[in-house]
Amino acid sequence: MPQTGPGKEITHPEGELITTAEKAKRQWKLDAISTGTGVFLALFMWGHMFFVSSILTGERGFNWISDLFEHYWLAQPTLIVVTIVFFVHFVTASRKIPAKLAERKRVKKLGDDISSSEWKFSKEDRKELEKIRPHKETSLWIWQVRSGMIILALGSVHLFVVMADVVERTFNIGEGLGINAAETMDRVQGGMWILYAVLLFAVEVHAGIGLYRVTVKWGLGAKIPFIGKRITRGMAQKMERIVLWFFLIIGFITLLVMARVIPPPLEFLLPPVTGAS
Amino acid sequence: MARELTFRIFRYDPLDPESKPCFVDYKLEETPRLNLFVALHRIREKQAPDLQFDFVCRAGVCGSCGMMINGRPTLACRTLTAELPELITLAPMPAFKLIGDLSVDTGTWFRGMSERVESWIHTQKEFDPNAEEERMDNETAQKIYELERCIECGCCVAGCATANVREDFLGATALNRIGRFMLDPRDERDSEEWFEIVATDEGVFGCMGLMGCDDVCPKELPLLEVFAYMRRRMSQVAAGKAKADSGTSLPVIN
Ligand code: HEM
Ligand code: SF4
Ligand code: SF4
Ligand code: FES
Repeated sequence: MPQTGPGKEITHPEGELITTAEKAKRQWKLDAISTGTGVFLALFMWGHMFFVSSILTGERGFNWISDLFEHYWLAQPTLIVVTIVFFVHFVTASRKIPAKLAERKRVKKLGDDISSSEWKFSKEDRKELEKIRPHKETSLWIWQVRSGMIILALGSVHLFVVMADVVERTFNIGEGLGINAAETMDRVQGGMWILYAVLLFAVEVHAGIGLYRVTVKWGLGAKIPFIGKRITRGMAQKMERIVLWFFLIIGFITLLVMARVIPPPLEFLLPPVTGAS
Repeated sequence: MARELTFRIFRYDPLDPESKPCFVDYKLEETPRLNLFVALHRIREKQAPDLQFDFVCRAGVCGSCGMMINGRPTLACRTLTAELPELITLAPMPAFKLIGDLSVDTGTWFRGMSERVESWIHTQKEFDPNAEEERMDNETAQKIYELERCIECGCCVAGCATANVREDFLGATALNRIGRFMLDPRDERDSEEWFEIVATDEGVFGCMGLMGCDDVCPKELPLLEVFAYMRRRMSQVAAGKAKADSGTSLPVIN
């Protein structure tokens, strides 16, 4: 085992001489950044879903929001910040992925073995067997890595397309329409729905597992303010499931409307317009 | 009808150049309340006199009988065959040095771990053999005891994906041990000192929160609660907000 007692000088793999205190600080920072950016992205995706689903109220609702964001310079800085955070998260989070294929296989095998049904769960011995809790998390983590890779590929494409739209409007290039319902719906209907369906699924799975894991890693045993209960794994699991299904369902309905498969179900909410829009 | 069990046991003697790692099947008739301690002894008596495995207390207190039972690291002495299907696969725990067959050297690993986390009370106080012992309040004592229950069986290390791929990872039992000393008011190590050991990729920030440890620990130690507490506390240190030293708020769930 390497010597890593407190206050000792150690050599960084790159040859630089740092103390254990500095090393600890650096590693804490990297972990905090990966968690922080992950949570930021997940919260952003919630807001994002909320605004995109404005299409449920019809094209006018969607256009009103996108116009508002672009006109008041809200969309542009958000886009830049999110793009940066996206890549920072990718770089810091993927530090945790084992570099060697053999190591990744080992992780998978261990997860599969521990959670396998090679153990009987008979009713009579339930209490005794409760100790052998079914283990899912190692496999969940593997799905987080996989969905992360999908997001990296498809999310980059999406960011690029949206950026092109916003740049067009901001600098008045071409038609200068910016993000608008008609163009988006044409795109989605014309085939991009495949990309968005996969991306939606990957993001919700990734963010769901991610938030669950953040809760477990940082919050377990902590008291919830005002309620006074301590957070348990079971609680976190339930929350994760509710959030996952909520966003998946809204997301897929939104996508169906976008692809013009179903009409906007909430169009009645907006006052009817007289004349052409 | 008693079942006929098949024990598929990993056999390998690293000291014998002829020996090659392989699995060998042994058949045994199931008897009521049969546990793996008895089953393995029966196999050794009648079928495989050279089979190596460890047991001492056969009551789940010494921690020497940890092994992979159908892929899950746990104590063999506390495992009834009734909990298992007819085919029972036994393998030594990974992440430890193999002595032979099912026997691994957890002792060296745990000694190294104890040295790394300096698993003893650090104090500058002069010991006075004539003075009355300092009292510890009951609540603190119980919290320490909860973590002290670790029997060093190594299951949490064998079940941890991180420990399996990173040799220098401290592992759940070590983090648990650190938690135990953080709680102890007699230990004078301050938050900064803990930070150097705990807040690294070998420590709590190398842990991916996969919960293998928590799910397999046969003593059901509150490992995840301890880690979550450490992450929070280490982040307070990094943010410069940690109080001089008081770990007694560790929320151990009983
Ligand atoms: C660029 C593509 C992405 C990649 C390659 C990626 C990869 C990863 C990986 C490997 C982890 C596990 C880190 C760990 O175990 O410590 C992770 C965690 C996480 N990711 Fe992503 N991710 C990406 C995008 C996203 C997006 C768009 C979101 C938001 C919806 C997100 C939210 C999260 C959250 C909340 C966590 C949990 C952080 C933690 O456990 O500390 N990620 N990501
Ligand atoms: S939570 Fe997972 S990574 Fe962390 S020590 Fe336990 S098994 Fe290992
Ligand atoms: S923490 Fe649990 S699994 Fe790990 S060595 Fe201690 S008793 Fe065994
Ligand atoms: S023999 Fe002591 S714990 Fe199993």
